Amino acid sequence: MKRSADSSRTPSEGGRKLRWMRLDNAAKIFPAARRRNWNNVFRLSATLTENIDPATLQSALDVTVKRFPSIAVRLRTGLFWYFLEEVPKAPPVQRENSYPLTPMSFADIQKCAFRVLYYKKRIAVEFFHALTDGNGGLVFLKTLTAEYLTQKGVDIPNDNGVLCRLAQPTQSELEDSFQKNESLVSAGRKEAPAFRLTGEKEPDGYLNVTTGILPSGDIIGLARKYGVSVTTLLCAVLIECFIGIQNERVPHRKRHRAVKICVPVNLRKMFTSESLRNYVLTITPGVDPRLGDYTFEEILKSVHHQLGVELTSKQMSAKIAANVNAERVWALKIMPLFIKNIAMKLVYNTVGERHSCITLSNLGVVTLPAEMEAHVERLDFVLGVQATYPNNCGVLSYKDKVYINFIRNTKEPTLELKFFTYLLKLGIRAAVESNQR
Amino acid sequence: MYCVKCGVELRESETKCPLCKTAVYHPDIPVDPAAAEAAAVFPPSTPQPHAKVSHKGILFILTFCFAIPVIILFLCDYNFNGGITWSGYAVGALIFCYAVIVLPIWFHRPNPVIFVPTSFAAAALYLLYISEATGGGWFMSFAFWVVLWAAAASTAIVALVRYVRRGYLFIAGGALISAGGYCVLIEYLVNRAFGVGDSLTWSLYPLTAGVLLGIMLIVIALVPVLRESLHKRFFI
Ligand SMILES: [Zn+2]
Repeated sequence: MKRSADSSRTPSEGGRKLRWMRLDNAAKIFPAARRRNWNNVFRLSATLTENIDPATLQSALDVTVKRFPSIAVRLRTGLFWYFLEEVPKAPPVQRENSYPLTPMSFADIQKCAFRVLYYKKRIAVEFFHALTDGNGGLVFLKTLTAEYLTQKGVDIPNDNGVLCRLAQPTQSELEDSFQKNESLVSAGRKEAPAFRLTGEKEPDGYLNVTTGILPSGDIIGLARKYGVSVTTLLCAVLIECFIGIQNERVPHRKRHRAVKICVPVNLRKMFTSESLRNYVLTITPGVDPRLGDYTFEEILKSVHHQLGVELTSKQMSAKIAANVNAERVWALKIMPLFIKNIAMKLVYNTVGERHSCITLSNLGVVTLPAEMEAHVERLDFVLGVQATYPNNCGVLSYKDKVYINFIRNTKEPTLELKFFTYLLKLGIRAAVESNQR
Repeated sequence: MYCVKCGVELRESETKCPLCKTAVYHPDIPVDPAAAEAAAVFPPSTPQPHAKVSHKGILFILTFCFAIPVIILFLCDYNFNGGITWSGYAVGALIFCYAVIVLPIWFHRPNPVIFVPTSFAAAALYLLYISEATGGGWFMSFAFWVVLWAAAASTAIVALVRYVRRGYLFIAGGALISAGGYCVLIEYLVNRAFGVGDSLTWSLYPLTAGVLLGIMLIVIALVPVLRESLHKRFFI
């Protein structure tokens, strides 16, 4: 039995005025940084208890997109800036490929900058990063899944991040919150380059996803034992692994580089924002192996304190100011887009990815309305690979499990092997699954 | 099931450990690929067309970039002078550059042992054209031998470096001696073709220097003790 939550809306959408908006402050770099076969993308998926019905999913998507005028968009080109424009109608849902986040070409992004995929019991949404960040994307996925389940006859209340599909989008959801919370002083940006893991690339662009599933209780217990957060713990394990890999590969200590992890920070809680657009900043805690050997406890302590110094609203607003001020330079504003693109691409290529070994994005504990939790088995968060480094890591926790998704564009699972065996040493056994060929 | 090598737990979708690639093994439970396929996390991998910049496309664009000035030069020359006069030299230079830079890219793995002599052949043809067009008559008496020696020496060096892959000191020594000899050849040919003089003067200095340095390198190559002591004193 099917029931649409949106039956009151007239089906004809011809001649509707399409909403458009500027790219938010963090998003501006993404279209400029693009490369052939690479764009900055990420993916969120929900695994339900039953196989997905594509027709219902399509109709749920048709309803959901209208509630998200800042996400259901395509990228358009202006003379001076790119902008986002609502798509006239939802894109068709597609069956998954053999790997996630297949290249989203610039031409695709100009038609529709996100896609909805299904496979077996799983609904996945893959976003171009200029639209939103992980937290905004999660609201979209939750709402889409809720609408799908509603149409399948399950009653789901609109809380825990599920939005009402009948309501109008609010201004606070569409705002670029970066413009509101800057400090008077800009933070400096100077940083040392980080160690780069390399490996033989998959020849056809195949992306390997390796998921480690850990019991939440184990990992929270361990973090508590050390007196740190789960993100700090995972971050320290990654640093430990990269130090090990660097020791194996670079024999001379003097040639070693800093080992740093890029950690996106959700600013919505810090500055109370409801924005569904990008509202994250990254910090890069790490250690410098040239200073000597670190024990795991030392790494933990260092990361813990680095996060403590950085994760304050004052420090963050200084970082925001640095980014926002750059975008307000008058001479930059009036440059034609293609010149801006060249400049921004140069900046991105020289500094954008040099300061970290990997991105560790932790969405934290994700909750759903209780009625929905019974129908959703699992959630996953997969980051796309970066242009220049081969691995990335997306983490979220749902029900009593933590899902750690490693993606990689190279053949050998060097980092994954180190990471999960190190966790095993710490007493946490991961169950792993993958899309290996 | 657990990986027997690295110890992680393996979900039923895995037929080998995704971390250490060890096959899933349990003495009592037979491996069931069908069950693994049913539990697969993603659809089976089908070969996907991967967008690549076409090698041929770049070559055509490059060729085009060379062809346009060639046509423009000919047209201008024809309009002003009613024939090919000065444009021949410019076009010749373009064709020479094309042969040196673009021609090797036409091959999948350009072999320097082949394209070094072809580059010299292109240079020789260009010089032949200039010599004939200006009525200089110095090609066979001068340019041909200069190019031939340079081509032979460069090709020999490239071939030795590529195929022998050691004895670099011998190769460098030989190259220095042959460079000294090259100077003598040039002075001799200049004297003979253009009647500048009839004895060798300046070329004997580079010859002496080249031969001395070359012999020194070969001696260093022959005596390992010397090599070691030099390394000890001059390491950077
Ligand atoms: Zn294993």
